[in-house]
Amino acid sequence: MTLQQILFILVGAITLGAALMVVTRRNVFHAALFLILSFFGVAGLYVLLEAPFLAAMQLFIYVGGIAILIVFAIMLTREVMNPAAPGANRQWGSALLVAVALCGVLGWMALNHDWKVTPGPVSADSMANLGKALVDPQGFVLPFEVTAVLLLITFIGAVTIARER
Amino acid sequence: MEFLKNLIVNVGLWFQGLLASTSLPETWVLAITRAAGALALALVPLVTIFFFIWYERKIVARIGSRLGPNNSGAYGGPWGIFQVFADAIKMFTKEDVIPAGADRWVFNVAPMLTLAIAVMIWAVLPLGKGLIGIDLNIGIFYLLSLGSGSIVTVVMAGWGSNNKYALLAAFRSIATLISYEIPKALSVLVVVMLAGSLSMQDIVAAQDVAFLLALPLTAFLFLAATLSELGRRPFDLVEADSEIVAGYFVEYSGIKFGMFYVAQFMNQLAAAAIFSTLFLGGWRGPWVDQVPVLSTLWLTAKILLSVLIIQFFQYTLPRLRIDQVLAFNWKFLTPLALVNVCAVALAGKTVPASAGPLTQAGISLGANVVLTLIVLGILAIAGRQARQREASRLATQ
Repeated sequence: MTLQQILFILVGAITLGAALMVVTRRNVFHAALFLILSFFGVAGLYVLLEAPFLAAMQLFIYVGGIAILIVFAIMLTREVMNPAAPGANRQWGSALLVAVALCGVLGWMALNHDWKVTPGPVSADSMANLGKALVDPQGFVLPFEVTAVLLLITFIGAVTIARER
Repeated sequence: MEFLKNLIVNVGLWFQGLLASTSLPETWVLAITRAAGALALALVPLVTIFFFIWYERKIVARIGSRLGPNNSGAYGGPWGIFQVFADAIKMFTKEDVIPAGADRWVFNVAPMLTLAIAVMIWAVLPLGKGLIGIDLNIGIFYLLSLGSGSIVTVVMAGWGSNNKYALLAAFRSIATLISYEIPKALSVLVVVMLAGSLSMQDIVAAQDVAFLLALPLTAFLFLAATLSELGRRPFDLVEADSEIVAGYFVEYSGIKFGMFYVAQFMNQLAAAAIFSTLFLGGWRGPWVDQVPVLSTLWLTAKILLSVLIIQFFQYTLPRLRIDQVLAFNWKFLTPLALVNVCAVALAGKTVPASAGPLTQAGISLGANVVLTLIVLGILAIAGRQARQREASRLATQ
């Protein structure tokens, strides 16, 4: 077994183990912390794939943004920290159905998709290539701009909702 | 003599040569050298912090017309230089109190994570010519993403303490950390645009003219955001002594408090190092090409100078309220940072690619100065209007 495989198994185990803890912990705050650990694991996978920019983005957005938002939501919501509250509600049946269906689709795709493998090592200037591809008319400039407009709409919407009348 | 000229790099090479002369396989030699290098790098902040805390105490004392540490009993040393060691020993012997009802795991892990993140910053700081832990091609972005890790540790410490003041302080400091990340990232973006790279060594190499001269407004934005993230006055909300004692780590004692304390100073040292690297030309200086070891000394001098600036802000300005701090960020720094990015980008496009670094720096400086004047003008008009409104309100009463 090469060093890379050992690291992959380690990082994968951290990611999946933490993800499992997220759904089994009764203490919601602990679940959120394990979610952050799981995000770190995913960032580790990106590092193993030689995509450091994506890894840093993962930490920046998911840990610094989304996870903190979740923690705030937990702390500012009533009753969510009550350990005696039931773990499931009336919708558990349909939720199980959706979860199993999603898992099936993802598993089927993982097994049947023709995964491309890059020949040789990743070029050293992958950062520059990524930057150019994002603003290249032949590349991803349209999705990039659409995302920007979408974010702007979200901002305006948030301001409109939060504004005092 | 030749050995001394590039002392630190040569010591590393000598160590590697020593290992290679034994019968160890090559991969092991590389692994051991890297591990030793990482250990040495991690020890840099942990050891220099002792001197640094003493330096800060001396400055504070001078600003307050005091002598500062000058004697610490039997262990004094000249100018009380060993006082910090006495403090450290005292810290180790204090009782470790865990509050009742605390979330033990979260409470105990938070200080360790805080210290770990403070050490991790040093991996990408260029400490001299050819002297850097790892020259990542995302360098400065790695530093920004570490900031999100430190937000998590604040939440953990505030929540784990089972103390409502700690939790409120944690909320407060998260609010500032999240808001001030935006002008910080935007001012870093301007530096990256001018340097054309995210790598720390490339940013240093691009500074034929120090970016402080080319981008004074950007440097100000970065410094303001950094001061706030460090919890330094005038943004001293994280640790507002008069209201919430020690903020989110009020419940910590003994060595765990020591970890927070040391991490705070290490973050300040790292912030000074980042400011020097981004805006003061990092390790660059005269005679660096002939005597590479001088580069580390230049960087040290620049760091001490930046620390002095931070200290002057810290110990001469009064503290703002939380609403003033957040309003200052969202209504002043963030819009200014956005306009600054546009202005520097537009100014940069007017320079032909063949122009030298001096022309480029001149154009950027022009854009920054014009923008500063416009901002000051708007502020003056807005201030006058506010005063007039206030006067007419008083007159009608």
